[in-house]
Amino acid sequence: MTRTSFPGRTPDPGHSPEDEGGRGAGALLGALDPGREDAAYWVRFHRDTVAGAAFELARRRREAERTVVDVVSSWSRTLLPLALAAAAAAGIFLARAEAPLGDGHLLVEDVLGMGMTEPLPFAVDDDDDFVGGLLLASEVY
Amino acid sequence: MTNTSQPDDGELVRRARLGDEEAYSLLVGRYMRPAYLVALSVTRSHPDAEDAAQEAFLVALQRLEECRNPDRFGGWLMTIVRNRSRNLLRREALRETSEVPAGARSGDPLPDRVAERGELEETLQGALDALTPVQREVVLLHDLEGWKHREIAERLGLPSGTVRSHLHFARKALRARLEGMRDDHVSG
Repeated sequence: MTRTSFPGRTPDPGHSPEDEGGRGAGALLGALDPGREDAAYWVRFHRDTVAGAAFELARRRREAERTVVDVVSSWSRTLLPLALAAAAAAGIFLARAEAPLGDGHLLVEDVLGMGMTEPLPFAVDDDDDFVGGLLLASEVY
Repeated sequence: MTNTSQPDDGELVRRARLGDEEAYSLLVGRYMRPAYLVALSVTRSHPDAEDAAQEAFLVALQRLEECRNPDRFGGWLMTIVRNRSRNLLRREALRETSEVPAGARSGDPLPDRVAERGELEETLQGALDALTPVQREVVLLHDLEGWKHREIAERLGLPSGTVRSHLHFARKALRARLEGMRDDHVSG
């Protein structure tokens, strides 16, 4: 509810504490105060001014509320999928770490060693074969 | 300036930015008279000053984020009031030169009211016309609104000595023009 009180000082034309001999002019200038003849003038002025700002004030209230909601929802939009993905990844990792290694599982070393039980075709057994191989290579190339 | 019952301008501005009607209402109550007087010093017309001051309050609310120092809201508002008043004068001038006869504007006082205010206000306006705009602002805010030199200086962005000087010369000029009628009206 709008409070219709005016915390500004009550004008006292021509009686300022710093007045330096201008009382006469100040008192006459009081005639320019529209509230002098019409006691309700400033109340009306205040009411009309605040009423004229109602739309803008309401817009600002909506904006302030919307901002809070937006921030929360944008956080949830970004953080929720991330949190879910992280939880899923962690779950998979934990499940695999806890699973016992059965006979059906292959070790990396086994995979690398596969097919290498036979001697390499170019392996040399003695010096003669090595020299013969070199000669053969020189003829070919 | 801050006390328990009267929130300072900075706090009111921050609340008004969020749409707090009471905060805005307090700002209007605090500055409506000075705003009117500053507008009057530019427009020299009661209805125009009223329009310009009310318009300035709305513009100030719409641009509240541009008030970089909320504690100095008063000075910032007075700048808006001055600018709106000048704009209004320009608009009035354009309108009057086109079609509407002078004195027929919707906001002008009614004939009986003109008669009531009559001679005194006319003479005062004439006397004020002889002053510069800044002299009018200073003398109206000091003598009519009761602002101190320091407050006027702060809110109009002028050195305190300049305010005193403007006040001195404004009063001197007013006295010269109003000399003949002071005794009649002050005593009456």
